[in-house]
Amino acid sequence: MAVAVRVLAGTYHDSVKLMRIAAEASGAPGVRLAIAVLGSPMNREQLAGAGLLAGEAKGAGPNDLVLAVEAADEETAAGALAGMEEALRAAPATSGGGGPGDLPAPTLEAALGGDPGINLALLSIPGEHVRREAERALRKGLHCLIFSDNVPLADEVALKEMARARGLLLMGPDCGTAHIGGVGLGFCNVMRAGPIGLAGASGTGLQEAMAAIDAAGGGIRCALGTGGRDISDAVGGMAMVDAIKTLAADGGTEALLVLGKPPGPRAMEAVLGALARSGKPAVVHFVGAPVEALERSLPEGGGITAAATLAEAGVRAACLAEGREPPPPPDAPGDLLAAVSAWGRRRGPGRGFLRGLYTGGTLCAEAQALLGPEFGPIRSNAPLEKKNALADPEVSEGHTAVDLGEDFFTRGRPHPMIDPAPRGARILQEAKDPEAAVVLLDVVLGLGVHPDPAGEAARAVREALAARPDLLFVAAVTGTGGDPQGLEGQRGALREAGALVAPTHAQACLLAGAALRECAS
Amino acid sequence: MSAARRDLLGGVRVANVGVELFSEALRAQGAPVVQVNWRPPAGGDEEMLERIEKLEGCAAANDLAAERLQAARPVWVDVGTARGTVPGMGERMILHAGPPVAWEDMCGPLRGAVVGAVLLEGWAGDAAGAERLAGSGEIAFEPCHHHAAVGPMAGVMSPSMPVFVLENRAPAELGGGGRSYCTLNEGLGKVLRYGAYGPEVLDRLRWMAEELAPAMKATVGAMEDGLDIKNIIARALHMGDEVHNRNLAATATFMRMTMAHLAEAVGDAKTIARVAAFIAGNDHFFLNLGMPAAKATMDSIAGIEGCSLVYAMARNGTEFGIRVSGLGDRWFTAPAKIPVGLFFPGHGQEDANPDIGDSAIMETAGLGGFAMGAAPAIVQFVGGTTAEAFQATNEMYGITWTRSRDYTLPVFDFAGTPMGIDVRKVVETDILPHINTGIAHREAGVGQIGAGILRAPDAPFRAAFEALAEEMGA
Repeated sequence: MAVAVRVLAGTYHDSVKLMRIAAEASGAPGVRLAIAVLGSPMNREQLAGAGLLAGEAKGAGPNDLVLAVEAADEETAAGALAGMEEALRAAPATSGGGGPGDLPAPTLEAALGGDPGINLALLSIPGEHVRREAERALRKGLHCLIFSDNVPLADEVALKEMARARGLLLMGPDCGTAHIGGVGLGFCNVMRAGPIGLAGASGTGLQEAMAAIDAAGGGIRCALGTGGRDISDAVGGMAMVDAIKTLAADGGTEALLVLGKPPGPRAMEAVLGALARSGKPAVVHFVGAPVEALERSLPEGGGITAAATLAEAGVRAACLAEGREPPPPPDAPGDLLAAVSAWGRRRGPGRGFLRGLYTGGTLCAEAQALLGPEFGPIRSNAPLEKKNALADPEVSEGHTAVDLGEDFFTRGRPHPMIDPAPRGARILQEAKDPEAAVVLLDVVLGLGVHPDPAGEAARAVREALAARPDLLFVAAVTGTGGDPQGLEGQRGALREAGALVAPTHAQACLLAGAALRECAS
Repeated sequence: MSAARRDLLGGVRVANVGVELFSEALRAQGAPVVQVNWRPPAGGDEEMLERIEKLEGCAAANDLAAERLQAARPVWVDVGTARGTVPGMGERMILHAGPPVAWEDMCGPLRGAVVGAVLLEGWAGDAAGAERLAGSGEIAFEPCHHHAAVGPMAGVMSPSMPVFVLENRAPAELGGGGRSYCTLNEGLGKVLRYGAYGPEVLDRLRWMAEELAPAMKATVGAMEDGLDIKNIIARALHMGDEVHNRNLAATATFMRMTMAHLAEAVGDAKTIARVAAFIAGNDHFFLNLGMPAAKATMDSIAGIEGCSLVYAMARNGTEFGIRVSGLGDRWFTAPAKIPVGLFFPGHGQEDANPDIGDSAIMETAGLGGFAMGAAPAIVQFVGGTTAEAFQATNEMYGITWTRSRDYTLPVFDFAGTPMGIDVRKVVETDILPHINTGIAHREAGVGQIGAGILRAPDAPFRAAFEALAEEMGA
């Protein structure tokens, strides 16, 4: 084994680009490990642990870029290192295609100096630095969309109070999806324009609802994210209420759709109150909250209805906007139910477990919500109920639904919606467990997301089925007709690999449920 | 509901702070987005950040300073002799570039220039005598900056030398009315400002005083309102100059604007011919007008209480110094660094003198290295790539308070140059000012051996920040 190290002093490249470059270098034959990181104390530790804090790297500081490779021999290591350097050079600071005026700005203030019309700051920086940077942005009169997570609760509350006082929207932290002014922000799908205003505390929740709106032929005015923690009682739904007020006063919004995981009681009251005062018809959906109970707490005659799934919420909103009655929520397609029965007959009875392997956290929650009551407990690293927490997120136990986008899996790695490789690896791991019977997958399309998530998943599905033809794969693709990945092609890739592909995630869960019943009988 | 929230739904213009893939995704949708390459401010030093925040009050004073900088209009009005024209020029006084420095500490080129000046004034008969006199304490050595003056490289000015006189024609309430001074540029090769003091150097200086200076005086005298130097700089930036290390277009424009007046004001054809040939043969003739223009501009913001903007950056070949508006006359210094760049054949880094000259006043005023985006051709002299030239300007927007209304950069869609270095921002971003500069041989009199770029040292900015914090009770 040989090690090659290079330090580029005072060089800036963002963390995702560095991870991509390192991942590509790692894939070359003979290369065991390739790393590209800034020389921060944490990264230096990581390098030391990998035996790569060698040579120049020993003196690397937080503003220096360390490239390190471990490979079969010196020539391979040097070659991989040179490859990484080349990739860095070839990836200029901007792909704007414009002139020097498109160079990245060194600070937010410099950006504003160049374009005083900027009205939104999108922050994806380490959580401990968010407060200061967001305060700066708010003071400059900018709305904020905070993608970052690990932002202290006290910071979130202070920021939302500051935003409210200035009449600005602060979306997040941990907000990965929004759609404003016809433009998708973060991980978002391409949508038709229309009169529906969405406000969501769940990113993939918004995406699944928007996909349903699109499939129903509808369009949106905007989708505002609030961040997952907003509707906890600690934050009290501040951003959600402000978002609802924004939509209420907006001439372009005719119907509202509010979704998230179940709010705390205080936040719930604030949210429902704001919806009632909006004077516009609304659909609400909280993943895992029983619809009947929710319906009972809705204000009388307030024009608010409840939906039982994310897809149903989207369909109801689309119908509201068009002034028509929503159809009853569909069952899983007949041909797919038949395929499940056929699988059940081939497999024969015998205990078998569900393994939901998710890139989208809200969809992981929806699977637990829809399947938990009949088949529970469903263990998870993001459990709807604490008592169902997985002891080790890397090892499934019984029925399991894993959120691979959760912190545990994304330290030092890009989110699985950007880099689906870890989910593929987990698919193969589950295939090795003889008790795994039904694998449930989400595939999320859109802007900012991997260019071919279905392709990546299909590869793993094919390999898994070759080893375990008795496994059943059920998938749903969350996407719209306008998404760059090509919705139908993505569905087709999964079908060709041998998965059953349902039109919505809720229907995929219905199929999974039918399959689990086959196992029990 | 607030108008601000309504406006958001109508359309987003985004500043993406962090991971680039979000900028890429926005660009793919044709949405306006500026990528901000975020780094932890103050390197993550919480305590430093709190102190920077406590200096928020500088904003009002900085805005006032910015108004003056925008309003400044330096105009060439006269030529005079240093004695009697430059305020405070004493009988046995020699002015030099950079912050104060004693004879014992002067570098090779500065010593050589001092010797040359002593000989020119006739205070000693030979070099040895000149050195003895210089070391005797009989000569007062003071920075040009202390006398409303600036000088390139060694920047030596003695009582008999002719000087350009400029005036800031901004309104009085915006800091106007001040004057600034600078010697005339000798040209390239063996010249006083690089520390040469041989007979040909002194002969040239005498010719400049006897023929060139009077011709220039007559020329500007024939121009009703003087010559607007700001206007020439603005044009030159649109013609590939950055007016510190590259003055070709500015010098050519100067000639164009003065030729007819020179011909009319000076009777003798041979004089005209010699004067025209001299200016035409000097690529940097304009520098000695650009520098006092920047000096007059920056002096208009000296001494504004609570202002954190730098109004002078200067080097004497031993030390690099800055002055900050809210800290009055104080110099904050550090050892001068050796520039990195391209060298003329036969020379290398080991021959180079540390950074020297008052010409960093150009960068102080948002020109020179700050305007490198206007002069990509300069990379042929200072090294680097044209992309790096653009990035040099781009980065300076991170440490300046405002953008010039009059000095604009075509390649940046006519964005104004970054103007008004804020010591708080330097400390917060760890971005140091870029300076384009000529490189002198460390031995007196050898001359220019190359050109390069360097970053100002960070110690003076930190020290000035500390002093400002103390002053403002932060």
